[in-house]
Amino acid sequence: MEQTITIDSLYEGCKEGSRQAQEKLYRALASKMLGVCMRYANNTFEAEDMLQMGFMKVFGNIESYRGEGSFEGWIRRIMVNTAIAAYRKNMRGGHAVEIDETHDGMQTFAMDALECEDLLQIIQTLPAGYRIVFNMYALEGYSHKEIAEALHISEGASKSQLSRARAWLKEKIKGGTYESK
Amino acid sequence: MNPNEDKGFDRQMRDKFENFKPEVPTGLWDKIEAQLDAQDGHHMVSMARGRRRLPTWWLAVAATLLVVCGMAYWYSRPLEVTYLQGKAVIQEEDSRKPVATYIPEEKPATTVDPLDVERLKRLFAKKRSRIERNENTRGVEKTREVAKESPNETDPSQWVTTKDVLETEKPAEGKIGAVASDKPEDGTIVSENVVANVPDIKPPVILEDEEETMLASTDGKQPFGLSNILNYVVGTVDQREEKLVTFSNDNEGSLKLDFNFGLAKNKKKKIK
Repeated sequence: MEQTITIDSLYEGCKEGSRQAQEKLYRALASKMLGVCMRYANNTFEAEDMLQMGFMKVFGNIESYRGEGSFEGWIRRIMVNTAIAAYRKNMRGGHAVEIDETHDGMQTFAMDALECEDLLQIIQTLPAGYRIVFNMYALEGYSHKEIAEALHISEGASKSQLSRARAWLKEKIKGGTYESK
Repeated sequence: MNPNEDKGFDRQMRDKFENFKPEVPTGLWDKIEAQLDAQDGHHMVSMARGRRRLPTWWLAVAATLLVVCGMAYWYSRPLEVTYLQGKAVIQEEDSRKPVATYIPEEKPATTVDPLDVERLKRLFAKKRSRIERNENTRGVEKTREVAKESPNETDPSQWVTTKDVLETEKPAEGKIGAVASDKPEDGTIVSENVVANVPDIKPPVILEDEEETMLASTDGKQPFGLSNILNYVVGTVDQREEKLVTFSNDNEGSLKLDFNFGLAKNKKKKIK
């Protein structure tokens, strides 16, 4: 709560282009937003690039924040949009990875026993198409309609990719809390 | 697959990542800051460019307007100037022969001369004295020229005076010749011819009057000049008897501006 107030209070300073306010905002949110970017990225380096791009967008388009929802939530959406843009760019480059190519040699974990880093590792091995849909739907709360619009795919494709992503993840986390339920 | 199972799975995942805060590399802010600085610099440059670009566009428009206005002025104004100059040129060219040829024809009219001369002398006595003061030797030269030039006037009204002048000129030539002899120019030849052809009828004193008359007539010929229009405009604005600014035309077609600074001072005082 205290942090939210601080972040909201930084908005005015950032709007005026105060470098001090921008740095404070970065220090307050960088870690959390990197966590978001990590789920979408293929690796840490890519996530850090996304974070940098995302903050540049935040500072550059700060005036487009209309005060609808929290400032932090707006920044988070920008990070997700940055991730979507990166995904699209990768798709054009033909970097889509087929599921069968990567899941070999992966270990399976029980979810409760997994550290975030381990779970993240599993997520990062997901094919980019599955990963982005799963992230957006399951972790960000977007609807299939929104996902379909953002990724320029059909709603049906979004749904099928989500279910495949889940199946894939469950298989990887076999024997964990999920299984015991 | 069970939808509830899926929801549970999603929630579990969400909870896991709820407080996921990986360590951020230390140098990342410096990168962002550098990028922001570069962007600010670029913004400033682009703004400066924009600022510079707009005035040049307006400068081009202003320059074009200036050229158009200048041309419009150039084509309207010279009408006055060339008219005056044109007279002078024609006069110089034609004055030699016409003076000689006209004289015999106009001899019969000499009877009218004394009357006219007397009248004109009286009428323009004031003007003459003023002109004499103002123009001195230049005035004398001018009058001579005017007297010569008058026969070429295209204005019919001028022909009346021209006649008078020509009549009076006959004796005048003697005097003109004397004046001109100081400066040997085209005029001297003309005057000599005239002297040879025409007998002296009037005293040179009266001739001077005639010349003055002609000068006066040329002055009076410009009541519709630019100066009058401007004076009228000033008059409409400045209702006082003495105007702050008065315009007057020169013999050479240039416009003179007279400022009455005394009035301006009074005005200021009144305002205070």
